Amino acid sequence: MKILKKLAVAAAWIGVWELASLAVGADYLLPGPLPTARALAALAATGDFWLSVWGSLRGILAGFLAGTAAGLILGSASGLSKALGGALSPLASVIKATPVASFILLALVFMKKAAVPPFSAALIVAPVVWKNVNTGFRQADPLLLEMAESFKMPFRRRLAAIYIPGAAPYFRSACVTSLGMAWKAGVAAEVICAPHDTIGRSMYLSKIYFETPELFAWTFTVIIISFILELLLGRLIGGKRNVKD
Amino acid sequence: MLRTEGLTVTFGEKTVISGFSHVFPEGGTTVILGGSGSGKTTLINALAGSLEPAAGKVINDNKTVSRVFQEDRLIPSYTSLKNLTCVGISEQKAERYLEKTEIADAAGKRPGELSGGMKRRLALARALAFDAELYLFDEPLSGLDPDTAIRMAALIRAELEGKTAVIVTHNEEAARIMATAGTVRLEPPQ
Repeated sequence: MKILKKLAVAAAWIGVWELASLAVGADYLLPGPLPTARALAALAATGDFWLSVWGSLRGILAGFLAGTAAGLILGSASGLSKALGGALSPLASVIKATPVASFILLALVFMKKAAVPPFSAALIVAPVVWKNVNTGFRQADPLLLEMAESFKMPFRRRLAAIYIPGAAPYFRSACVTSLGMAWKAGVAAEVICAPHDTIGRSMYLSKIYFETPELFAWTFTVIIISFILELLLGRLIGGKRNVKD
Repeated sequence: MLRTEGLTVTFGEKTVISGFSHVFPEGGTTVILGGSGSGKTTLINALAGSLEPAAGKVINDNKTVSRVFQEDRLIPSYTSLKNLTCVGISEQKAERYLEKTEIADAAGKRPGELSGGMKRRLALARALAFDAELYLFDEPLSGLDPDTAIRMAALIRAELEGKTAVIVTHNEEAARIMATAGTVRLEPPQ
């Protein structure tokens, strides 16, 4: 029953899309669901499509992992050292407040264009993971910490027994939340930098050649991959709880 | 050496302990008795150095302290056995103390799977198995049924033989069993 309800809602929105497309009356401005589906089927039949998907996935996921690792290390260190947390806090705020496009354009000055999408993805992920892990560490149970101090529990055991289990839900939610953000920022960087064999470059080319159904098909591909990635990550590391960012 | 000199502890405007002086005999167990609000837990925390006195002082030259806290303070993600081994107690010794506290069957269970009384005995097992110079127990028998409480009091007495300990309880019968170095009755400050 739930699935039927969801299908009905999806069908209703596709209907709205079709009506809007009919109202505009030009596929090069607003293609309807059918031309988009045809364009997607045609793209998916080519090797270049899969090469672009693989190129984007590889680069952006590498950036996501790098940002996650940086956020995890710095978040843990900040959770244990108030001074470091205080020093990193303004930097994280600035990164979060700065438009992604600004970072992409700045990064283009200093690095090769193929490196910009992973860098942008990492930059989006790191502050989110940093903040959540930092919060998780700071909320470690003070009663358990006092117990650990009393029983002279070594630092490594405190980390494993008290800090890490406390911070784990925060880390998981940061990962699931920031994956979608990283994916979108990475594709945006690809559109601006247009590195070879990426979805973003294909979107850029579709746009300049006015192949709007293809542009819609690529956008649809980005959305589908984003859903799949979030679903897979959610299954892999456990649900979306205690989202702090 | 464990003693207090004119110990006064306040929380804001409220004085919980006022000018308390006492020498706790070495190699024996002193039991602190007193009603609710008499400052028993506050005294244990002050002896452990967890609280800063408003006046007076605590002189404690014991380097290692084993505690049963007012709360069980068990690691929720660890099994009973691991809750003992994670503070440096050997696995063999941990198993022995789980047996002594009558929770050997719970060795593989996490605190969330235990009853309140079992959790209390696990906290007690951890504190008894830990080698320390001073033992500070805050209501170690709370949540136990009367028979189990008496058996655990006898275990505490046997295990702390010759060791310096301060135990807070409101169980008069258990106090008589555990107190090898006398009892101190705390009254709420006037």
